[in-house]
Formats: sequence, C-alpha cells, structure tokens
Amino acid sequence: MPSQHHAISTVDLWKRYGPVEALKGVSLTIEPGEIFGLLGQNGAGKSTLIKILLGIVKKSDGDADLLGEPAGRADVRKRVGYLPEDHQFPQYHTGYSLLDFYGQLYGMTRDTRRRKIPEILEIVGIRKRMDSKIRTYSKGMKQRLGIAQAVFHDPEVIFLDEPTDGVDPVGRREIRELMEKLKRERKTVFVNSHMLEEVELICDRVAILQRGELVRVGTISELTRQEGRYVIGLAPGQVFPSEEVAKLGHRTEPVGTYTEVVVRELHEIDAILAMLSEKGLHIRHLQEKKQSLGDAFVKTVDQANFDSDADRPRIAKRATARRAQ
Amino acid sequence: MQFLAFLKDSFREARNGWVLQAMLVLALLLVLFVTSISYTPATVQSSVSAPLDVYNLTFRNNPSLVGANFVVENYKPSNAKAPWNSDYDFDFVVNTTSPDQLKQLDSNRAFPVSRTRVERSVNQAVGVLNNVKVEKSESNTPNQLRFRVTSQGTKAKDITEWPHLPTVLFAFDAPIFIMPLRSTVYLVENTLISGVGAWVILFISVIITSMFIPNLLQKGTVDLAISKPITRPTLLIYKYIGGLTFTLLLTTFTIGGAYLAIGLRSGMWNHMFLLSIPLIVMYFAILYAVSTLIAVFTRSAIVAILGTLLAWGVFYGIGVVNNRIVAREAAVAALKDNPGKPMEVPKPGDDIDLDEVISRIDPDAPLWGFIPKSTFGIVKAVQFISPRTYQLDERLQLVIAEGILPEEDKKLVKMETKVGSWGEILGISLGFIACVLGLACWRFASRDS
Repeated sequence: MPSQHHAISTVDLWKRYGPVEALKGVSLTIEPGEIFGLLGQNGAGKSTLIKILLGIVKKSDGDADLLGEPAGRADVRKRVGYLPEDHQFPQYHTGYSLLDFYGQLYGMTRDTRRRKIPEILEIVGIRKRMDSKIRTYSKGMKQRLGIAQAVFHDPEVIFLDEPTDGVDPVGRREIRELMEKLKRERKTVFVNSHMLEEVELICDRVAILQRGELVRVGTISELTRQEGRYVIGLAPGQVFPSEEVAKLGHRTEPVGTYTEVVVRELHEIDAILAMLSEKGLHIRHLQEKKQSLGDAFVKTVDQANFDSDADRPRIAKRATARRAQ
Repeated sequence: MQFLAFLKDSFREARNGWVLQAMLVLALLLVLFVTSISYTPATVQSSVSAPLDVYNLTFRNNPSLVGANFVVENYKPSNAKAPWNSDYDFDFVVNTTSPDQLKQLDSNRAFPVSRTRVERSVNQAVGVLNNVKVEKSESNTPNQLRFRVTSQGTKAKDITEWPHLPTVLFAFDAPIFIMPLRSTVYLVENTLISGVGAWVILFISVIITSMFIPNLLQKGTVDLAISKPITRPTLLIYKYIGGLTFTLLLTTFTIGGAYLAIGLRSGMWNHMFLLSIPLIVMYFAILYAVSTLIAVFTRSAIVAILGTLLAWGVFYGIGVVNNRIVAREAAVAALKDNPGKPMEVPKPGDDIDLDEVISRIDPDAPLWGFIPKSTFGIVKAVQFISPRTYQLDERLQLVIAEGILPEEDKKLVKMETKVGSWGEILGISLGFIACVLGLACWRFASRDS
C-alpha cells in the first residue's frame, strides 16, 4: 500500500493499448522535495506514466498515487504543475491572458495573478512579450511559457516532459537555474528528458524506463559509478609498475599520464596501494572511475534489450505451450 | 470562478477569428435597417387614391382612354389629427373626355364607375371605415361621374389599428405594405428579425461554435486542459455554456437592438418580442448539443458543422411532416365522425389545404404524394423523442403575435400554427439536450485524452 507521505507512488502499474503494453508493472516511489529524472527511449512509456499520474490517461492495472491521493483526482491537480511534451496553447491567448485563464482555474485571486504572472514570466525571460499573441512566439518562447504555466501557481509536484525541448543553450541554463530554485523551495520535480547532461546536473535520482519496464532506479552516483575501476596517478617522474600489478591478476590501462586499474573485488585495491607504497612510489591521484549518465543509460538500455531478446525465445516457447494446452 | 474563466475564454476564442465582430456588424446593419423604417398614418385620401393612381397611369398609355382619370375631391375628415376617430366625407370623381370613354370604363367591372363599384373600391382600400355610404351626385361637366362618399367612425380602436405607410431606408415608401401599424410591426418583428435574422444568427453561431470543442480536444491542447483542477464533464459543460453565451450575446444584441429601434420609431413596444431571445438561444442549445456530441466523437470541426446542419434539417423536417400527419389524422377522424358533412367552401384569399382535400378522396393516400401512410407511425415515434425545433419556431411566431396583433389577427395566427404546450416543447427539448450532453460527457470522461 503506497504511503501517504510519498509525493508520487506507483505499484505494479500497467497500461495497455490493445495488444501494446505501454507500461509493464512499474513500481516507483518519489519523496517530497526530490528532483527525479525519468529516462528512456522514445516510446518507452515515460509520458504515459506522467499522464496516468495526472488522470489524462487511464491506467489498466495497478496503483498510482499522487500526493497521497489516487491519481487523476481533479482536486489534487490543483497542487500539481504540468508541462506536456508537444503542447499546443490556444493561439488566441497572449502569454499573460493564458496564465490569467489558468490561474483562475487554479483558484488564484486576481491580485495574486496580477502579481505572480509578470514575476514568473520575468523568470522564464518572456515578460517583455507577455502581451503578444502566442501565435507570434518562437518555439523556445512557447516552451518557456509552458514552464511558467507549470510552476506559477506554486504547486507541490511539477511534471516537466522534455522541458528543454527547442530551447537554446542560454534558455536551458535558465531552466536549469529555475529547477535548482524549485529544489531549494523543496518542490518535487519529475522530469522526462533526453538531455542527459541536464538531468545529471539537476536530478537527485534517476530511473530508466525501457519498453514500459523500469530497468534501473538510483542516485546519479549510483548509476554512473563503475565498480572496480580506479585511476591512479603517481608523483612526477615515477613509473607505474603495470607488469607487477598484472602479475597480481589485475588489468591495467594507461589513461594519459595516469593508469587505470581494474580489480575484481573492491578490497583488492588496498593490496595494490600497499604494494605501491612499499616500492616508495607516491600516489598523487586516486579516483574511482565514473561513467557519464549518457554512457550508463546506453549501457542499461543495451543490456535491457539484450535481456529482452534473450527472453523472447523463452516467452515464445511458453506461449506455444499455452496454445498447445 | 472557473465558470467565468471559461466564459471569458470562449469569448476570446470567438473574438479571435473576427467572426464575432463581423456578426455584430451584420446584426448592427439589421438593426440600422429596422431603425430606417418609419411608420406614417395613412390618410383615407391617400389610401383610396393609391390604386386609382395606378389606373390613371395606365389610361395615359391607352389611346382610347387618354384624358380619363379618377380623383378624390372635397376631402373633409371630421378629425384630421386622429384619423382613426373621424368621420369622412369626400367626392369620388370619374373624369372622361367623351361619353364613349365613360361607356368603355363601365364595360370593365374592375373600374369603379358605379355606386356599388365605388363602395367596394373604398372598402378594399380602407377596410377600417364604418358605414361607408356612396351616393351619386351632380356632375360639373357632362362627361364626369361624381359620387359622394361618407363614413361614420372606424373599426380602429386607436392609432395602432389604423393603416400606416412604411417608409424604408428613410426615403422609399412601401405602399404595398399599407396595413394597420400593429400588423406592420408584426411583419417586421416576425419575418425580418425572428425569421431571417434568427436564421442567420443560428447558422453563423453553429459554424463558429462548432470549432470550440474540436479546438479544445486537439492534440497538445487537451492534455493541458485536463491537467488543470477541473473534471472532464465540467470542462465540456463549461465549453458548451461558453458557446451558448456567445449566441446569447449575439441574439440579445440583435433582438434588443431591433426592439428599441421598432419601439422608438413606431411607438409600439412589444415586450413579448423580447421572448425571442430565450427561444432562439433554446433552439441553438439543441443544435449545439448535437455539435458537441459529434465533436467529442470525431474531434473534427468540419464534421461537427455538417452533422449539426444535417440534424437541424432532420429535426425541422420531422416537425413539418409530423404536423401534417396530425392534421391529416384529424381531418380523417372528423370525416369518419360525420361522413355526410361537406367540406367548408374556402373564401377568396383563403389557403386551400390540398392534403385535406386529397384525404377526403382517399384517406390512405401518401402525404404530399410520396410519404406512404405506412411510415406515419415511424415519423410520429421519431418525433416523440426529437427536440421540438419546428415547434419552437412556431411558438416564436405565436409569442410575437400575442404581444402585438389585434385579437382577430391573433386568432388567425393561432389557427395557422399548431404547436404543443410549453411543457412539451421545453421538457422534451431539454431532455434531449441532457441526454446528448450526457453521452458526450461520458465519452469524453471514459476515453484517454
């Protein structure tokens, strides 16, 4: 049973579109104040998960809770902000009038709207154009407006589906700063993004969704860590004893002026460091090697695809057996 | 607050395409046209002279009748300031150039050259005069006929029942519409405003508002709307009411403007005419419910417009056919109850109900020659559940007549319009709207965005 204290919680969540399974038993918990990134290839089910949580799409099975309430309740949406992917604002609005309209739907008073709308439009950088029709906005401006409408009513949970889509590098930095501000304000932010560098910089935790299945969840450091790989640098003029380390059964590779050592067990690095010390070599650099989030994502997706392909004959076999019965 | 927000949003949406502005300009032109119509009490002299002037014109082009003419002379109303409350005394003069011309005029029964023909001519021209008497009097010349015409009092109770001459666009007299002021105002209100004007309002409103729901449901917009703290049925109903408000605004502007214009120009304030506003909006509410349902299922503005126009035609057609079937059944039943009773001989000018005549010959004959009697039951069943758009239209006519026409004319309108009770019209129409909107809400709520 999902706890009331979670900002977002799903348990064995399924979504089927006819024979297509968009989500397959997704279980996920996000705590208040977390910046959470959901990664996945196109069609992995990221947007579907958000839409179920907001009640835009109906779940097929399982549980989905938002702010301790069953997902999809209209009153809960008052405490939530949402930037959809490929959003289309009514073209007859100006930036200001759109936020004014949405503000009324959120129950904001006129004074609050008058104060907050220019403020948020200033933050996202389109205040000067707030009285222009949206049809005259560039894609980046529409995206900025989309972010503004998702956060201006001070929601507790904010869903951002591809927030930096179509935004230039300066705009991306501004959006990142906005998200950091939200983080400081203890807002829960759920981000779907392809911009892995951004996610790596902002998110506390990340999940990878592949073909509707949650294949990995963890902090950025957990996902990017490469266990058993260390980069060692010695004092200038000293030579790393690669052959002796190899004799101990460990692989080494030069990385610039440093050397990468691969150990099977984590504690084995201690023996290597002791040996270097005994030889009078001075260690000036020691770091557990990490991979980028992008590398980790690609590796995880490849692995998931491999596992899935490996499962396919077994699944087909089971299906054949069922049909035979 | 959400409701007002949606109203404002719908207004903004309608205003966006300049169609609302164009419609308001059209409505303004209609109101200005109505304002341009003035109503002047017709004098007995001008009313009697109007057909005579036509004769005189033809005489000029007929070589054998050149020089002949009809004139009204020695015109003496007893109360010129209140023509409806006056006695009249004037000479009806026939001038000719020769006895042959006089004989020629006498040979044609259309020309008023005898006492009885003059009396008929005066009565036809000014039907409101009481006790019209015509006497032949002494002529000034041998080829002249002179009749003295007198009348005592009129049938008109006040100025509103007195014939008026409408002048259109501030300049152009329309003598063919000389009729009691009440009837002229009824004609303007019923035909020009609630007929043509309402039809245009409904047509344009259907087109404009049919875009509201598909625009809301388009990809990328609907997700944003649904993610707000509002339930889907509420969202749809607010959008629906937004469309109704647009039409209410337009109708109020047109009807209200026409009401003021007619009242100021004629002095006749037909308050019942203002009931046209809710009736036209009710009519539109039925059409817009259909449009909303189609839009939710198809998300296409074009399909919604075409489907709504089709439904409009079907509802109206069912109403017309059903009315005829009811009339046919009544005629057949009356004949069955009293088989020997002959059909009333129609008076000149009466509309002859051909179907009633046919049904006397063959009660099983197809309606209008092509709707077989076997389908009457189906039509009546469909009519039972159909919104009463046809009857709303008829009711509109009755309501306007109720507020303006003299009692005699009111009876005529009532006889011509066979409509159900207010309860039936509103109850079934509102029930239809509720069912159709309920279905649309269910569909919208049960589907993924």
